[in-house]
Amino acid sequence: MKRRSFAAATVLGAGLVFAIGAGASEPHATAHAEDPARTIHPTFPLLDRNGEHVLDSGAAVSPTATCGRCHDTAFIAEHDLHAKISRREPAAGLARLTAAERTSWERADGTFETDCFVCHVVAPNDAARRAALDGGRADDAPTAELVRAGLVSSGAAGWEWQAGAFDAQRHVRADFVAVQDPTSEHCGACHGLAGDLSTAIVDWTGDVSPRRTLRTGEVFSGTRLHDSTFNLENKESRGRAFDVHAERLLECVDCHHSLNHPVFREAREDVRPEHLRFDARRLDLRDYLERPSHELSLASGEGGHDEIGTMRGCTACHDATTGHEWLPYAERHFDRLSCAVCHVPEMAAPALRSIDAAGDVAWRGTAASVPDALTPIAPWAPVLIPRREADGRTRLAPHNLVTEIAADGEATVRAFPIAHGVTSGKDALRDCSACHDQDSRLTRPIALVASSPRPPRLAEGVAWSGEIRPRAGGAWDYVPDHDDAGLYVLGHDSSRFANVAGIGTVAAVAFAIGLHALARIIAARRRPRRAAAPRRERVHFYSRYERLWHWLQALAIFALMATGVGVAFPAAILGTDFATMVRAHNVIGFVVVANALLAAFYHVASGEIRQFLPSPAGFFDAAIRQTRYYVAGIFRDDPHPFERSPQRKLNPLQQLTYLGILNVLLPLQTVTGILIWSAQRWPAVDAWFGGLALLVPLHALGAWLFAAFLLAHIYLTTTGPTPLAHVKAMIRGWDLESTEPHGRPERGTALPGTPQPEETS
Amino acid sequence: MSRDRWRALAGGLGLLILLAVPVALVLPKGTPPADDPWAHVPPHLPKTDHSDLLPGPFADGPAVTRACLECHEEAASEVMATAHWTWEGDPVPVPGHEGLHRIGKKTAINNFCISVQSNWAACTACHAGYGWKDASFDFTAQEDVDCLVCHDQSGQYVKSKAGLPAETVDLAASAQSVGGPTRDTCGSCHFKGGGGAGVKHGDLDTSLMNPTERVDVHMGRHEMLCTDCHVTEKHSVRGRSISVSVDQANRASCTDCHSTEPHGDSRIDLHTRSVACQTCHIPEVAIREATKIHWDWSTAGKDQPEDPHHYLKKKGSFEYAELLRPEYAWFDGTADRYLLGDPTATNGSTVLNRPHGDRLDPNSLIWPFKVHRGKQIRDAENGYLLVPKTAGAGGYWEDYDWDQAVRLGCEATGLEYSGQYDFAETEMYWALTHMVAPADHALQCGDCHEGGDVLDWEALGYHGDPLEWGGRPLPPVTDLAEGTR
Repeated sequence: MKRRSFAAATVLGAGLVFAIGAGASEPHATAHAEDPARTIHPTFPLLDRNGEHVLDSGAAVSPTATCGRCHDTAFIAEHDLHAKISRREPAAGLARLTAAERTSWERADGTFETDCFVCHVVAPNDAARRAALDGGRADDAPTAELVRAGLVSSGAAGWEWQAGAFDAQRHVRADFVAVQDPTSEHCGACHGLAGDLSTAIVDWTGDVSPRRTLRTGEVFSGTRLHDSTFNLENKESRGRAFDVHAERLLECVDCHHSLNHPVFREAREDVRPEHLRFDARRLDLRDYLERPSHELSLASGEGGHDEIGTMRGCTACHDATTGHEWLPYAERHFDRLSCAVCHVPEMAAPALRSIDAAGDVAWRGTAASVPDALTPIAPWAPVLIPRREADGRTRLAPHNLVTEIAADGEATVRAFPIAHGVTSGKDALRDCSACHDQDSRLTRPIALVASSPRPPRLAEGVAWSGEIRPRAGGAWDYVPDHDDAGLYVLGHDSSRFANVAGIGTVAAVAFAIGLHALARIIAARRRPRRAAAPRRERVHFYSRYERLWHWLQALAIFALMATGVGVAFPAAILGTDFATMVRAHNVIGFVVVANALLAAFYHVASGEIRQFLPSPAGFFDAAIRQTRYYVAGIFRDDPHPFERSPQRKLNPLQQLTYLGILNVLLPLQTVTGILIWSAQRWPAVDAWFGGLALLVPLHALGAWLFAAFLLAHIYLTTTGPTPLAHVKAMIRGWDLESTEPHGRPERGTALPGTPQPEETS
Repeated sequence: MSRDRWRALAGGLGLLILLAVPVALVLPKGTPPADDPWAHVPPHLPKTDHSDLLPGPFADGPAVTRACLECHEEAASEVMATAHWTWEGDPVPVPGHEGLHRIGKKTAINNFCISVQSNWAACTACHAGYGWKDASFDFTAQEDVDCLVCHDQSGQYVKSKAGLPAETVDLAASAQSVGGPTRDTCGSCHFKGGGGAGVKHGDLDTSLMNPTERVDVHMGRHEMLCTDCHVTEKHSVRGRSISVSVDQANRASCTDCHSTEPHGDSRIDLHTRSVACQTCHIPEVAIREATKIHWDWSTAGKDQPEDPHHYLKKKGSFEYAELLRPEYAWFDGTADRYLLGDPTATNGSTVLNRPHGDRLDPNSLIWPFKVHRGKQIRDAENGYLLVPKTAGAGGYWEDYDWDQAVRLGCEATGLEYSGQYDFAETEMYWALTHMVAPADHALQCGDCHEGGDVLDWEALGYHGDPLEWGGRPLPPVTDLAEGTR
C-alpha cells in the first residue's frame, strides 16, 4: 500500500475525506433550493455578536444574534443534537469527533455558538467556512459561509460588508441570503455524499470530517449510478439510483425531522389512547417557528442520545406485505433480516476498510490506497451482523467493518450500520441463492486488514455473531456465523450427522440389494431350467382405488425427494430457482399427506387395514421363515413361504416394514414437514420443538430413510413370478399367482368385509 | 358405460378435488400476472428466395410489378387501398369544418415544403408507386404500384422523380432480393421526411437503421423491425400521425404489447393514467442527427452564404436542434387540422394540427411533441395559407419569384389568389414515439417534480407540481377507459 501521511491522524476519520470538487470551490448545488421570491421567510438585518448591524460594526455576523430576533435560539441550543456534540456533552457521541474538530468549533473565548447558517442558508460557501475553521477562526465561520461577490469579502482590515446587498431597511436582500429548511446537500456537506452526482467530481482525499460515506460507502443521491461521475465497474449496466428515497425526492429531513415538527411529530405508540389512531392536535405553527426543536429523529447511533429510536422505521411508511408476494416465508425473512439486507445489496462508493495511526488507509471497493476521481470502483457487499432495531427486535443488518490500528499495533474492528443507499424492489437482492446456497452471504468472510501481528479485537457494543480468523500472509478476516445469530438457513445449512447417517443407510441398502440381485442372477443361471412353469392363474389383486392412491403417492414422493434435494442442496438441481423448489416441495408435501389420509380412510372403512396388521400368533416363526426365504430359498427358486392372495397381500416382513413406515417414518416426515412449513405461521410452536435447526435435520434423516425404503421396496417387486409381475399387477390390478399349493396359509382366505374384485374384463 | 365406470370416474374426480384443496391452500397468492410483451410481437416469416422466380431482365418498374402480381394477385389491390398509395385517409369529420374530409399528404399543408400539390414529381419520389408526376396520375393502374420500395433487400433500390426507380437501379437484382420490409426499406422514406435525415420527425432518422440501444431500445437492444409494432395485414400498416390524420383509427401504441402497469412499482404505474409512456421513456430525440425546429421561408431568395443547416437561397433560414428536449401537451390521440382555405390566426401563429386534449379529460395524457415552427407564404388579403409551386418549371426554386410560384400553386389547389402575399407564422406538432430509451435512461422523478423543469405544470393546467398539489380529478381506476398511450 502506498503510504500517505495526513496531518492529524489519530482517530478514525481523521486525515481523510472527500469534497465534491465543484462544491469545494463554489456554493453547493441548489436543485432543491426554494425560490427566494416565494419564501415566507422575511428579510432580516445581519447582526454581530453585540447585536450591532454588521454594516455599522464591520464585524463578523453572529447567527444566534441575527436569528435570535425572532427564533428562540436559547431553546434551540438546548434542543440541538449538533450543538450537543459541539458542546462536548458526553452523551452526544463525542468520541466520533477528532480533537482537531472539537477545538476548531470553539470561538476564541472558548465558547461555542450554534451556526444556523450552515444548515439554513441557501448554498452556503462551504469552502470558505472550512478555511475559517481550519485557521482557528470559528468566530468567522458563519461570515465565511456568506462570502460572495456583492455581499461580504475578506479584506486586510477584516470583513468588508457591501451596503448594496442591503435594502432600505438595512435588511440583507433575499437574493444574497435566502433561508430555507435544510436540503440533503446541506446535510451532505458534513455527513457524506448527497445530492446530484451527475456532474460533481468526487475527490476522495481532502480535509477532516467523520463523514458517513467514508465509513460505510453510503450515498444519498437520486443520480443513477451510470449517470454519475464514479468510475464504476460495469457502469453502463448499473441503471439504479444510489438511493431510491433520494430518487423519489425525499430529503434527509423528511426522515430525520425535528422532533416537534407539527407535520411529522407522532405520539409514541405506547402512550397512544386505545381508541385513537391519529391525534390531530398539533403544535401551533407559530410556536414551532419560534421554538423548533433541533433534535432530529434518529434510528440509531452511538452515545445514547434521546433521539435514538425516534425515527420511523421502514415499515412505519412502507407496507411490506405488498410487493413481497414472490418471496416464500416473507414474514420469517422480515422477522430475522433488516429490510436493508436485501434493499441495500451493495455499496457503490468506496469505504474505509482499515486505517492505521499514520493515516494509511485501505479501502473497500477500490484497490487504490489514495483513490481519486478516476479510480476504478467495484461495488462491494456489506457484511451482515445482528443489530437491535427500532421495534426492539434484533435482526441481521448490513454493516461495514473498519479496523483501526493504533500506534501500539492494537487493532480494533468497529461495525458501522448501513441504512442509506436503499434500492427499490426491482434492484434489491432477489436471488435466493445469495444466501440459500453453500456459498452464502451469511457466512462469507470479509477482509479486515492485510497484515497485523496480533488478531484484531472486536469493538464492544456490537452484537457480533462471528469470529476473527487469520488468512495467509498475516491478513485477518471476519467470518460471520449466522448460527450464532440464531438462524438456520435452508439450502446453506445441513446436518452432517443426518446426511452421513442417511446416505450411509441408503448406501448400505443399495449394496445389500446389489449383492442379493447378483446372487439371484448367478443362482438362476446355475439352476437347471424347469420342465414346465408352474401353472398360474390371473388373480385380481388391487382395486382401482388402491392402484390410484399407490401411484399417486409414488409420483408425489419422488417429486418430494427431487424438490427436497433442490431445497437442501440448491446447487444440485440446476435451472429452477430456490423459491420455486420450496413452494413445490410444500405443495407436494400436502398432496402426500392428503393422499395418505384418504388411503387410511379407505383401508379403515374397507377393513383392508387388517392386511397391514401382523397377527401376533406365530408372527416370529413366520417372520423367520420369510427371512430364510429371502436369504436362502429365493436362490433355490423355492416357492414363497406364504401364499399371496387378494386377502393377504403382505408377508410378515412387509407387515413389519409398513408398520414402521406408516407409524414412525411417515408421521415423522409429516410432523416435521408441517412444522417446518409453518415456521412463520406459528413460530412459537416451532421453537418449542427445537426450531429449524433440529427439525430440518430430522426431516432430512427421515427423507434418507424413505429413500432407503424405496430402494428396497422397488427391488422386492422383482421377486414375483417374473421380475415385472408385481409392477404390472399394481398397474393392471391382476397378478399371476401359482395355484399349486405351497407354503401354509397363515390365515383364513376370506375375511369379512374384504372387497371382492370389481373388474370382470 | 357401466355403472362401475361411472363410479370410478366420479371417485377419481372426487379424489382430485380433495387433493386440489391442499394445493390451493399452500400455493402462494397474489402473484402478479407477467407482462410479456413478446407475446404480441408478430413472428418474422421466413424469406422466400425469389432469384429463380424473377430472372428478369425488367424494362421498368411496372414490369417488375406485373411479375409480382402473377403470384401475389391481391397484392396491388391491397396496397391501393392504403395510404401508402392514396396519400389520403378515409373521409372523417374535422373539428371546425362541415362535412367529411379526406386528410392526407395528397392535399395537406405543412410548414416544411408546404404541399404536394403542384410539386408532385419532387414529392412523389416517396410515393409507393410509379409515375405520379401531376394531377392526372391514374390511381387505378395496378402495375404502377411499387412493390420494391418496401420489399427490396438488395440495398441498391432508389427512387427518383415521380417515384420512378433511379437510373442506376438494377431492377432484376432488386426483384430477386425481395423479402419483408426492413428498417432500411421503411426508413428509405420515413427516416428522411422533409428532405434529409431526421429533418421532419426528430424521432425518426437514419440512425435507426442500425441503432444503439440508447438511441432506441426496441430496434437497438432487441433488433426489432418497424413492422413489429406497425403490424401489417394485407399491406395495411398500423400507425397514425397527426401530421397527416386527425383521428386515431388503426393507431399503434405501446400498450399493444406492454401492459399499463409494467413497472412493478405502483407509484410509477399510477403515472400511466395521466402520462403517456413516451413522456418518460423518450426524454430527448434527435439523438444522433439534428432535426429542424424552425423554417423561415420569408428570408429565401437572397444571395448570401449558404449552409444546409442555417440558410439556403431556395428555402430560407432554418434552425436545427440535436438532443432535442420535447415540448409537452395534453393529447387524446386526435387533432385539429388546418385545411386549405382556412383563415390563419389573427394574432400569434397558426397551428396546423393542434393536438386535442385537456387535463380534465380522463382519456388525455401528457405527451411529448416536437413542435416545428415556421413562417410560410400566405395570401395577404384573403388571409389564408398558399401553396407555392417550388420544384419544376416556373417553381420558386427555378425563378425565385413568389408571385409566380403561388399563382402556379393556386392553379393546382383551386384557391383564389388576391395578388398580395405575406408570410405567416405557423406551428406543427409531431407526436414523439420513437427513439425510446432503455428504462434506466427514462426520466426520473426529479426531472418533473420538486423543482424539476421538464414539465411546466401551470401550463398543463395544474396549480403546481401535482406531487405537492395533487393530481387531476380522475374516475376510480376501474372506470377508466383505455386511454391513448
